Amino acid sequence: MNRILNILKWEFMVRFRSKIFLISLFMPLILVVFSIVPAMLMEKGGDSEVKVGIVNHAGHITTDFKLNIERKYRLDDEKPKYWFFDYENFDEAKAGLLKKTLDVVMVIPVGIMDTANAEFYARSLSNFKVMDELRNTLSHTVILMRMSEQGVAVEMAESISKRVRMDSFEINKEGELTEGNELMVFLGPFLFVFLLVMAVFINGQLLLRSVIEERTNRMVEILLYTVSARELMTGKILGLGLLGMVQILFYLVMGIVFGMVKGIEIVRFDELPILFMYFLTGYFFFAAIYATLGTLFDNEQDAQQSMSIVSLIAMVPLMGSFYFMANPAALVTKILSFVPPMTPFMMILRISSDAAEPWEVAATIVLMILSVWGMMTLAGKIFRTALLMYGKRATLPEIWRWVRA
Amino acid sequence: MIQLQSISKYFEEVTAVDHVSFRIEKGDIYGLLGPNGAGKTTTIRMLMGILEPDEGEIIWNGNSISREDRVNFGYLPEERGLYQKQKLKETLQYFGRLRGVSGKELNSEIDMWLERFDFSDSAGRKIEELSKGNQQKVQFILALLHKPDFIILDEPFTGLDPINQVLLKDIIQKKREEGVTFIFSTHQMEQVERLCTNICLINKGKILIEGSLSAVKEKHRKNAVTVKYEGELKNDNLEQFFPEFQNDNCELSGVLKTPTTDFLDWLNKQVEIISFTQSTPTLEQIFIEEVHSAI
Repeated sequence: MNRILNILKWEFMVRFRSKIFLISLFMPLILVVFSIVPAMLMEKGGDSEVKVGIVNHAGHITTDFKLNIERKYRLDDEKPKYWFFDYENFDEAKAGLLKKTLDVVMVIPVGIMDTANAEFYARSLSNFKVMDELRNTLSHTVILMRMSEQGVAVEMAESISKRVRMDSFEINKEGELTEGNELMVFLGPFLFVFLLVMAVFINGQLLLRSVIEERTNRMVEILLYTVSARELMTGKILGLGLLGMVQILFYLVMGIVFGMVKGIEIVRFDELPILFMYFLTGYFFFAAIYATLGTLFDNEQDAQQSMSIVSLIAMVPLMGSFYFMANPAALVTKILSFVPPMTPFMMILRISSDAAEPWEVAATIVLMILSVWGMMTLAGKIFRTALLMYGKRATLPEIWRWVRA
Repeated sequence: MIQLQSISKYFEEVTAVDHVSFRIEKGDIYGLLGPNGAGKTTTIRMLMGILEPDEGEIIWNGNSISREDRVNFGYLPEERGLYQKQKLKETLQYFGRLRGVSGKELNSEIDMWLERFDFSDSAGRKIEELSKGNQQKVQFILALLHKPDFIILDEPFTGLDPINQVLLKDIIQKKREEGVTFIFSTHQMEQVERLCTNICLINKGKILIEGSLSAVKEKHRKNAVTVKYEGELKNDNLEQFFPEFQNDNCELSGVLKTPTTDFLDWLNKQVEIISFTQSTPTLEQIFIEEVHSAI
């Protein structure tokens, strides 16, 4: 036990004091910032003038359309957001678009009042907001005109076609209401899982590198007569696990502070012990795999390929998080929650969005504990034998033999 | 003190160590010799518990050896490495603690060794900043730091300058006087002759010769010959008598693989013999003769 503690302490301190740790601590935060800021900017609009070229084949409809747009969309300084330029034919408008005198071009066809579709052209279609605003207003204008043609008074038409808004609220277990923030409801669990996945992989990678280093520089030779392979593996996994805990704690404190500033509850404190349980079992499960991979390859480049397969499996919950959170009762969501490499991440997503039954939490925790035990036993068997194999890559039949031994 | 009882190790179809037995007494410096791939490192790894023997047993002080016994061993492997990015003193402290030494005792022992190897100013430096020779000295300290009573040194002198070689030899001799037992594996035969009390020569996993250095030399004495002659003696013709020999300036020396009389009869017909002496062979000559005759 004393020896495991010594290895744990060494592995922790060596990495904790390194610059790489500091970088790895802030890297996920930087990634989060990079992935959220553009979305938030887009949401905010990043409003600036938009020059719209209009090729109109439908008569006076554009007059109403332009008026509606001007009424509805203004920049912060109250100047109109959209400026319209009329064109006789599409080619002229297209030239303007290419010369960048126009930002977008709309083509309104003759049959717009019946069934024909309007067309929208831009150098890039990535600005959804502009497209949405133009489309919604055009659609609204056309509907009003259709009603007017049917003899409905303009005021009445306005009131009939008025959209219904819906305010959203979230009810927690105690029945308290909070005003809904759809973005944070989705982003909160997603970010938490993202940071956990990063912590698992960053530390898994450090573990792999540490095992490969000790094998290639032959430190294992002088370690293995003092400590057993199992003690070495356990000490390393625990040391880097502790490092992961420090990372998670750091993110958690940052998240809570951010939440307090913004008045949002990022994580529920009563859920923390369960979330930590998933993090720990998830980390140990992957750590056992990474430690084993470290013994099977002589350098990181060779190990990379196998590692990416492992990482890909764990990424599934993250990649499908939108679907899983939107469809908590779907069969695939439930099944994937019981596939050990994915269980911790799936369950954190589901618990954070209040979509997991207590029995599922209990069952998956038991499942993870059993899986960790099995994976550690398996890893221990391979680790012990493969640790001293230099130069020669172990074959699958060999690995199978060690496992059965 | 430590005894190998017919230990064997197999890797797939290859027999790396084949029923090897020897016994080393307290205070011995035991030379483990053999050509590359003879099974020395595998034998050492089994002694250190890094590999388990497939057959046989290792006895330490009368009992089957355990991991706890081995914590009191010291080991300088042939293929050496250190944590390059870590500081010298911290690395020594880590290994000291792993082997059960800690606190003041550990620090005073580390300070003593750092001073002895002229490292006092380098304690806080990273290992990668030390020269290769100095890194080797650090590894030597790692093997001795916890005051082991049994130490295995695999090629300890390779890469060291003559001054540091002497320093190492002095330390080995002094430790031996204190009752520490050594296994010493090397290809440098002159070092073995100077340091070892007993030797074991293995090839292809089997023991070829084993015993005290003086007994081994005595056994081979009659076969080592030196001849001074006049005339011409072609090297091609000598290979039937010697596995290895030296033939320069009308002086021929080597260890005979045939009876002395056969050689003399033949030699008389070739050249005029001026003198013929049977000498004690060097360990190198014995090594080459034994390995060749085993092929």
